[in-house]
Amino acid sequence: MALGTAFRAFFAALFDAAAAERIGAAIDSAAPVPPPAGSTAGMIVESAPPQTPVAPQSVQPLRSDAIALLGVLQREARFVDLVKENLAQFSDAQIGAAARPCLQQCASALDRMVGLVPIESSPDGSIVSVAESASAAHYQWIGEGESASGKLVHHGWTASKVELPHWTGNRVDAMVVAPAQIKRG
Amino acid sequence: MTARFSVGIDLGTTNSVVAYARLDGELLPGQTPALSLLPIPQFVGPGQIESRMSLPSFLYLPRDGEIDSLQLPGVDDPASGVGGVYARSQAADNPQRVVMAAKSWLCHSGAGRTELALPWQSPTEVRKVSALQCTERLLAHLVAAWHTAHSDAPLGNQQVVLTVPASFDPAARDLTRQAAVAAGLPDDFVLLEEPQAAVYRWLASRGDSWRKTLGEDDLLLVIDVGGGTTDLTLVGVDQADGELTLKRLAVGNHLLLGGDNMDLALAHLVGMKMQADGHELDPWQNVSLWHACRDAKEQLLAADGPQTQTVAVLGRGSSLIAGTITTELSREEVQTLIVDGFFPHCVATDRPQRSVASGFQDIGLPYEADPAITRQVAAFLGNQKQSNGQSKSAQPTHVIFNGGVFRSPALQDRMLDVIGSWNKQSPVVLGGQADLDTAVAIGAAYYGWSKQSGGIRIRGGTSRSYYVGIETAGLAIPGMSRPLRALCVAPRGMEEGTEVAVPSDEIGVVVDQPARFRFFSSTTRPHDAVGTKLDRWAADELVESDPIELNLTTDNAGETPYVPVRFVSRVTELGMFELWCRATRSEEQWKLEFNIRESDE
Repeated sequence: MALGTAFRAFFAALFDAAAAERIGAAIDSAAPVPPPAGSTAGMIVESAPPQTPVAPQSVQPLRSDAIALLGVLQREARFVDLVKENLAQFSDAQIGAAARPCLQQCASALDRMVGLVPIESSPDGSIVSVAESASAAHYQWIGEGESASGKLVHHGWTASKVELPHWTGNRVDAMVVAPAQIKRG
Repeated sequence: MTARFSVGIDLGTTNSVVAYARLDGELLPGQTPALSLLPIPQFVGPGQIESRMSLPSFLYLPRDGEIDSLQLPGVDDPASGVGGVYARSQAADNPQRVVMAAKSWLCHSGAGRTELALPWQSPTEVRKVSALQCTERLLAHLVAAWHTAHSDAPLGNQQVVLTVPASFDPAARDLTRQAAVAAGLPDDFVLLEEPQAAVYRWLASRGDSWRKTLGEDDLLLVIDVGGGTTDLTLVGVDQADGELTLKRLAVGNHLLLGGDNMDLALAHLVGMKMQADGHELDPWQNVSLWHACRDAKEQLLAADGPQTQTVAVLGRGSSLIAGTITTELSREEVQTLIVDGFFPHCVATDRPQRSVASGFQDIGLPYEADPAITRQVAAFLGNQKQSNGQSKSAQPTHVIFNGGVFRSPALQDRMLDVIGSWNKQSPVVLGGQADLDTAVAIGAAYYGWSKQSGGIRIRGGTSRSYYVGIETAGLAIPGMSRPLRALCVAPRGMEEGTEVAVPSDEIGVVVDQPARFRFFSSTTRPHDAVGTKLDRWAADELVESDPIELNLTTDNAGETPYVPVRFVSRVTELGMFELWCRATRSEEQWKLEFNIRESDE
């Protein structure tokens, strides 16, 4: 059972910052930690705010999420190779030929990891109304007036999840986006 | 402790999937439980873990320097193999360190099952494993994934259903069972044939209303084309006491032919075009070409697909654009190569061609010589005519497609056209396009639930009849082996949980040396009863499996140099076939074991 809890804590900590905080607090204080609301026995702990205020344990993750994301895009789509190219020396057709598979694979990797969806589902140019409670981060006004509705210029994007790969490596390797590859023989 | 979950595990040749359902949920009568897929944490690169809904069934044997970065919680000792996405990606750059298609090796009596021979023909510095160990490693990974998500419901206490190809022989099933129990599955887990699982998936989606779709005497053909294998099964609909029941009538032979062959064929065509333009591809590029071809195939064969598709392979080095190679692939080319090549039109009496030379032989597995799946289906249905007592081939009224290959409607349509041309009308397709890759795991989880809650069950028993070879006591001629007779020890359709004593003369088992019997199975002799002796048979009627043996000591025999016995066949509740020897002069009995030591071959 202890081993099972350890695995569960390990993965919960990996995949969920809030859970990591709770687990960190539990280890540090040895005090019982209330389960998050809505979690059921046996299920992966869903992200939920801790119910008791705990002192933030500023545990810096070893590798930044940005490096993790770049690592995936490079591994699956060669994204870093493409953006680091000197575009001046290639024709549009050459760039297009390389960009097509790269962009397609970027799209499928992003779909899997962050699940990009439009904030507003109506087509561009249609009239949409904005709830009074909507945040400025979600809806940005262009132009003046009192009206709660307007013409949609851009539907916006939001991530529907964040599922980045988890890093088990050490500090020395934490900045590596892609390894150098050397062939023997 | 009672099981809280039914867990279905599809250990595929190229991908493994786990699905589960709660057993303790509150359901209305006729309602089916929620069926979910298990996320499987796995390495996508050294030190990088991602959860995916499937585990590629590849095992990578890492270099010493990498081992520290491949420690996955719950999966000990990465040095003995790491499964998943990273392993699959290494198959391109370091094929000498990756075990592929371990499952196909499990049922291949040539080599590599228990012998440390994989990766096949790899250099000496690479650690070797057996197909059995590889299977155990991959299953242990799935078990760890379960415990990650359900630490309070140990898998050993759950109702677990593991699927195997219908064409797996008893020795391969036995090996799968050994690997599964060693990996942490409960001793009483159930083996289910993959095509039947695909049928259960359809039943799960229909609930009780399946009886409105199928009627008495309907014949359901399951065509399961996986990454590396093709598995065929025929299920009949019977009526008993006013209730419709399903019965598995026949399964096909093990065909090493699948979707990967199609993608590789296409990649080969495109590679030749690129070569003609003066480009050489390295192995990594060949694999990305393979993936690009699979995507192109699916788009070009879509109902409203484009006429041509550009296939691009990115440059290998860090100079991406300059090294990118592109070529055009047209709908006609894909149509010719894939649809006409793998699903050619044929008549019901066509049979697979044996003599076609195959370039795949050197990689160790006996791949099918004839890639035409339609001809394999024609042969399978033709073989069933003896069983239905008619002179015509079996005529399926319904078809269930399984496997990612059938995401292309063009391939489904062609298959239906061809079967339709043999019958009066085209069969009706059951099931959707949505989960061709996950249907087997989901169907297995549903079966586990159905077994506990008394739902519908497909009856069937053993898929083949089984025989033991007995040398006749004729005159010995130097240089000639004695004529061999086959004694039928189990008829086709022998049900789970039954046992039958084989009527025969007494057989003397000599003590202190292994008594070995040649073992055969047949999918084409449904009328042989237990005890039937065959003096001769056509070469393709009986398929020889591993020998089966027994080792008795003098303790068993008393004063005589041999023990007289008769055979007893059993099919366990869990679907395992067992052959026992029962002493005729005492109450003792001993189980015969399959001999799978390759050194004896």
